[in-house]
Order: sequence, then structure tokens, then C-alpha cells
Amino acid sequence: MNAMVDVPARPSRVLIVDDEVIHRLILSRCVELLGWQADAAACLEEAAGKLSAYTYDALIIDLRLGDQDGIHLLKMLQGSRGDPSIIFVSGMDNRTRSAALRVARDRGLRVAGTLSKPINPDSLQAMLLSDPARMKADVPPPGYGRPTAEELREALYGNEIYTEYQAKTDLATGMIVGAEALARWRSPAHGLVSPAHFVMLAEQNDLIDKLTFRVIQDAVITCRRWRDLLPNFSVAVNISPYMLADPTLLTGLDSLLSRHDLPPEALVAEITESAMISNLALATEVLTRLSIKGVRVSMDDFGTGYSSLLTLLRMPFTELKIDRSFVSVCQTDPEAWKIVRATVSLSSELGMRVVAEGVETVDLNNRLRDIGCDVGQGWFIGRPMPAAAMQRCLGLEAARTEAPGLAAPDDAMPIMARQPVKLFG
Amino acid sequence: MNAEPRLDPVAIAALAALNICGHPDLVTIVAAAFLKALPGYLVVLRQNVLAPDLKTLSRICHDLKSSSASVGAVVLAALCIEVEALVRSGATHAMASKLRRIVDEIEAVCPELEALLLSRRDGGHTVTAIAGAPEYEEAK
Repeated sequence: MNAMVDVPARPSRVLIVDDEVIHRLILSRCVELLGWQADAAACLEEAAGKLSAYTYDALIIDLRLGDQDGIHLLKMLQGSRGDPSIIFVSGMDNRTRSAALRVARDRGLRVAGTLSKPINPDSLQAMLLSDPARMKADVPPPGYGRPTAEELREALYGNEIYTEYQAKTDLATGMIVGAEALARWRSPAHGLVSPAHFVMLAEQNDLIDKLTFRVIQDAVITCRRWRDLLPNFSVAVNISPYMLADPTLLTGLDSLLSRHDLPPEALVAEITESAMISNLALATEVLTRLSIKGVRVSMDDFGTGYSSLLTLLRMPFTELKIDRSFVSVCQTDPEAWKIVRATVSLSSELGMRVVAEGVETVDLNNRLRDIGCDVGQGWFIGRPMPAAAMQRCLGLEAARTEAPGLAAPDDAMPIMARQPVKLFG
Repeated sequence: MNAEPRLDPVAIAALAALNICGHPDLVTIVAAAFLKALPGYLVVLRQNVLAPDLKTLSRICHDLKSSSASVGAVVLAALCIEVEALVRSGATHAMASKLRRIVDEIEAVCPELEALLLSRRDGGHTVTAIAGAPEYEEAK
């Protein structure tokens, strides 16, 4: 059943409690992009007033509210209307945010997750959309908000869906070695649609195969072209768990690779742990067959799912991607840093390449390099960009490779910083 | 003089990507809100150069850290992280020079925010509908 058409009453309503106006504005817009209603409160007293007046489906709470704290708000929720899910946002370290979630759970509240500031809009929207209780209550408002499955179907046949690429660099040399292909949808009616939303829409409406193959095809064609500039370049694509049961996945990949003359090892299939847990046997079979074909298999978002070590042992992974929730906080959170260091060491022992997501500063880039992490990906290295912009980066990279005197081997400058005008001018 | 830009264009583009047809331009309202808040931060920071109050500094640098990162003032955000670390370690001897750098950085960011607001207005990114947006009223 498609939950999004089986709708009763009203759009979801979200209360944002944050003492900082910039974040209230940005968080509100992230919520509005989903076609939901956003209310904002700057302090506990204001939040209490809103909670007594309205029923909320979700609360986004800043842990640090000036001299107050967001935990205090949890007490108020126990007598409030509805059963809102809780998302904590904070610039505080991961452990504090996780501890806050435990406090909320212990109080019997429904918890959706925690995000670090500055907020990644896609992550927030994914968290809001992942709440099954909300899905039934959403009414797409006219004019903007949530596109329908029909619109997605049409978009897949037109040119509204396109692919962006986020660079990965070899941390030891600072050179670009690959990119992750990311689907984007710019709809004339809805603007830029959140990937979290349209991927879910595709999964629920039997369109995920079309969407996945659309991205894989783009990725294979561009990777083939880019390997003329950088011969060892590889491209990673995300494989939805729904695709694991699709009998055309393996044959379709085979056909694309041979049609475009791309060696299988230039393609990396990224799959999340949680995706595999639902059907471990099927996931093992499909990933093993992919591996036999020579396609590299990467465990995505490592550390956020369950049975990570068991899954690592069972699956033919050649690469492990440490989730950004560990990496992005490890400069301020010594415990997160220990986990990252241990994961790098474990990957090395198991002979896997390790990729760190969420590399957002030069310091982090260098610290990861120094502990032997192989590859980095994140905003410091480069944000997702259209193929043409990425091609320009690769052209520059190829020039650096051919004339190594242009850059020191340990030059880990972000690709953005190298040529900002050419990329964004 | 060819000074280094203080605002990261990629962060501005990320804000612009959150625009919704018929809603206020998010870049404009966020930049305006940030610009409006900065003089208040400057007053407190200048007071703390001579007599640092760690609790106050911890609070305002925590706020300023993520709001400046959101508008692409990455150097400012990095300086705030450094002050937060100094507060945690209690190393007040290095505080004054760091705070002076934050003050200088804010003074460099302000004209860029003003220029950004001007360019958004001239570029046709003006507000097309208020649509009952109280936050917009607050930010003006």
C-alpha cells in the first residue's frame, strides 16, 4: 500500500526549539520543503505555549538553549498532546547528543535521532520522513512540497533527474581517486526535491530500479570518460536494499559495463548495513556475485547499523565507509576519535580500503591521513557537484599528475579551494 | 587590495538550494538575521577581551560557531571552535588575542554580508511573498 495516498487529515506539524535565529530559519525551511508546517520557539517558555496550543508530530530541539537546556523540555512533553517524535540538534559532541536521546527514551518518548550543527538538510529530512507514524498523516499541499509517484515517473523519463558527483581523495597524496554518484531531482513544480524523499517514493512505487539504473548509467558513462584523464578513477553508486531482490541488477550492470567499456573494478557498489540486515542471505548472494564480477563492494555508513562485525565477516567487502556521525565529531569527541582509529586499524587488518565520510576541515583531513585512513570524502574535499564541474577538477588533477612540480605530494588542499572561480564562478 | 573572501560561496549556494517558490529568499533572510545579530556579539566579545567571562564566552561562541558555519563564514566558525576549546581547557592566557581575531573577522564578514544582500536584491531574489512567516519578520 502506498502510505502517502492513504491520507486522512492534515499536514504534519513540527515545532523547532532553538535559541539561535539562523537555525530556526534554516530548520523551518527544511521542514517546509517537505510540505509540512513549521512553528518555531526561541526558549522553553515559548515552546511550552506552543505545546499547549497545538498538536505536534515532531519536535526538533536544540540541546543548548542559552542558559536553559533542551532536556528540560522533555518534562513538559510528558503531559502534552499527541506523541511527537524527537530530534535533537546540537553543536555539542556526539556522546552528549546520544545521551540526550537515551534520556528521552527513558521517559517513554518517541525518538527519531540526533543531528550535529550545522545541519545537513538531507539528513534532517530523511530523519523526519523515516517516522512511519507521520507518513499516513501527510497531505501534500498544492503548489509545493511532496511530489507524487506519477511526477517521479515522468521525471525519470525526462531530464529532471540528474547526477551529481562528490569527490573522494587519497588522503596520503591529496589526489582525487574517485567520486560518489548522487541522484538529484530538480522539479519545475517543486524545486529541488530532497533525495531522502524521492528515493523513498521510488522504493515504494516500484521505481527504484529505474532510478538506480539511471544513476548507474550516468556514472558508468562519465567514469569511462574521466578515466581518460585519471586512469584509476572509480565511481561509487548507492544500491537500494530493494534492488538486492531485483533479478535485473546483475545482468543490467554487466550490460552497462560492457556497453560502455568500463572495467568492473572502476565501479563501487555502496550498500548500507541496515539494508542487508533485513535479508542477510540474499544480500550475501548478490554482493558475492557482484564481487565475483569484479565490482568493488563497499559497506556504507559503517557504525550506525547492527551486527557490524558479523556483517563485515560474512560479506565480500573491499571497502568500508565510516559514517559521518563518527568522523565529523571526532575532533571534539575523543571517544568518537577512538572508534574511528580502531575502525581504520580493523579495516587494515581485514585488508579493506577504508573511506572516511564527513571530512569537513583540513585538520580532520590530516589527522585521518596520519592514522592511515585511505580515502576521504566530505565538504572540505568537495561538495557534490555537476559532472561538468567535476570534469574541470579532474582536468586540473590530471595536469598536476603530469607535472608533479605543480604541487607537493602531501598537498591536501580541498578541490574547492584549488579553483573556486572555475567551479562556482 | 585583493582580500580573501570571508563567505564560502558553496554554503550560500546550499542555502539557496533550500528556496521554495513563493517563499522568502532564504539567503536574504538568513544573511539579514546574521548581520543583525553580529553587533550584539561584537559588544560582548570586546568586553571579554579585557576580562574574559568563560561562561559567557562558551555560550556565545557555541552559538556563533554554528550560525557562522551556516552562512559560510568558515574562518569565523573555526575561530569560535578554538575559543570553545580554550574555555574548556581554562587556558585564558591565549584568550584575548583569539577574541581580537574574532572581532576582526566579524568586521570583515559584515561588509560581505551587506554586499550579498545587495546582490540578492539586484539579482531578483527579493521576497516574493511573506506568507505568514514570523521568522522573516523577526529577521528583518
